[in-house]
Amino acid sequence: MKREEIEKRGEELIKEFSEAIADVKEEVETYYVSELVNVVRIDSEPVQKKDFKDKMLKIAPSVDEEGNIRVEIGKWVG
Amino acid sequence: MEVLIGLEIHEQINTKSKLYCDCPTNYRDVSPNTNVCEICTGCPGAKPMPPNQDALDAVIAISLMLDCEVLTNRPVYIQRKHYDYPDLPSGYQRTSLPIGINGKVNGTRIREVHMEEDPGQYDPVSGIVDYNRSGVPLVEITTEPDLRSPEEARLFLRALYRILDFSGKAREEPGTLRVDANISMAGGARVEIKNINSVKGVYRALKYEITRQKSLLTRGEAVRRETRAYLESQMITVPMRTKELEADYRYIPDPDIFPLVIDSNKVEAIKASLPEAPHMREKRLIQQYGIAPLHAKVLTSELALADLFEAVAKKIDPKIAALWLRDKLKNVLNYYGIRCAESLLIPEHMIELLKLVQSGSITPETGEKLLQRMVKEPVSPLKLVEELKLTKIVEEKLLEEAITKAIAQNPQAVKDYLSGKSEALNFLMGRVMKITQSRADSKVVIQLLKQKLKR
Ligand SMILES: [Zn+2]
Repeated sequence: MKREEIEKRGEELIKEFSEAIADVKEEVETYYVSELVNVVRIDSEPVQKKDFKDKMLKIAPSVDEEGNIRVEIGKWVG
Repeated sequence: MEVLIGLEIHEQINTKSKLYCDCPTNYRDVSPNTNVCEICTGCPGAKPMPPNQDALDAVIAISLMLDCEVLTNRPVYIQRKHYDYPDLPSGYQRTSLPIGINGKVNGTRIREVHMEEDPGQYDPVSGIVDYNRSGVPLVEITTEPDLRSPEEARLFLRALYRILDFSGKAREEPGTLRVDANISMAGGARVEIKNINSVKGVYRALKYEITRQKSLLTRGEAVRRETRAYLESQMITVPMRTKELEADYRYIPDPDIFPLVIDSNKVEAIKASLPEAPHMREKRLIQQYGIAPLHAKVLTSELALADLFEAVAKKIDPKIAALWLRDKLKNVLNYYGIRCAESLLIPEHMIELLKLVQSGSITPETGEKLLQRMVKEPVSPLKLVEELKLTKIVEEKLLEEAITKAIAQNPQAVKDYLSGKSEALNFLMGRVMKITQSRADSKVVIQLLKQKLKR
């Protein structure tokens, strides 16, 4: 398709879409989120996730034998 | 030179699970990077769980105990505070808007109380990172710059720590307290010292910083606005540029967490169930049990000690209980360098022990020795006395033998005593106690020694 054709088809689409939604009633914007407050959870028995630990350490840049991740040392203590 | 000091204190809250996920909070008991999940390690796309209600209630209770006004009936947003540091995998720390404001402790104004999540642990010296701690709930308490010296800061922190202890909401383990200190002197800029881990550390860091700033100012040099780190091992502060200044934190409300609106009825309910504040308890102990103010002060230095005292005082003369807990028990705890909460002593055993002493079955000296063991293992003193045969020696023959032995082994002391040095008698008494494994009544021993060694 040529550029002019695409432009023309685009114009038509917008016009058709405008006509299609002309009857839709205008609504006040709704913020579902902002009306919710105090979504909390009760402190409960904790869960340890062994499989996550393994996955995380696998992608860590460097890990020592105790399971610590090793990164750069602080420049201000050197 | 006037010094203005303000503190920012972080203390962990004692919940079972973390603030925004259900990982365990016992980060000291497990190997590194064990109590972790997608949420507390900030994996992309991981949504936090709703905030832990118990942590929020604890922050409200602590705010009330610090005489703060709790902000009710308005949204308290959880903010993201951004900074770049290896202990913070998501790049931001979640911190609430103030929950309590305008409090007071020991005449020092409390500016704000917040609820936060703890970052992980990064040791800049070794480069080790452990995320077990990441997401443990914290209460953050900031003061106005009302403190004027390291001494004042120390006294304030002790008073604050006592309140946190008595609130029953903070973690019991030592070393969970973390403090940042702001300090400025006339003519210089405000300097922030990060990551101080103890009351003693705060005192030393401030002392060092005052000396450093004073010497700069007297030489006509400028004290720059900066963030410094306290190096515990060297007791100095050094400049640190990795953590940024306040304006750079780029706070935004966390879109994943709904705002909290604290209901005033809820605050009233928490207020009604607050534990007794330490200074109130101190007063009550004096009135209710008739013990000396000095004893009451020591006994309310720690919640566990105050609880132990009241449990023991139900069965034992409170004045005797106070004396034993304040002197003998405190000595043993200090010797081991632990707090009462860390000892394994239970009230029943303490009551048993004091009954043994009061009935004359064992000597006070034996009692003290038993206490040393009872702090480390939950053993019944009655059983120990039977097992180790520690009952007081009542047979005069046995005492005589011990005294004769002590006299024979220490001729110099005998000579000293006979030539008028009274303190030599105490030395000989000590030898007798040693021979009898403290099972002799010291008063009787002194009498018998005097009789034997008539001057
Ligand atoms: Zn987690």
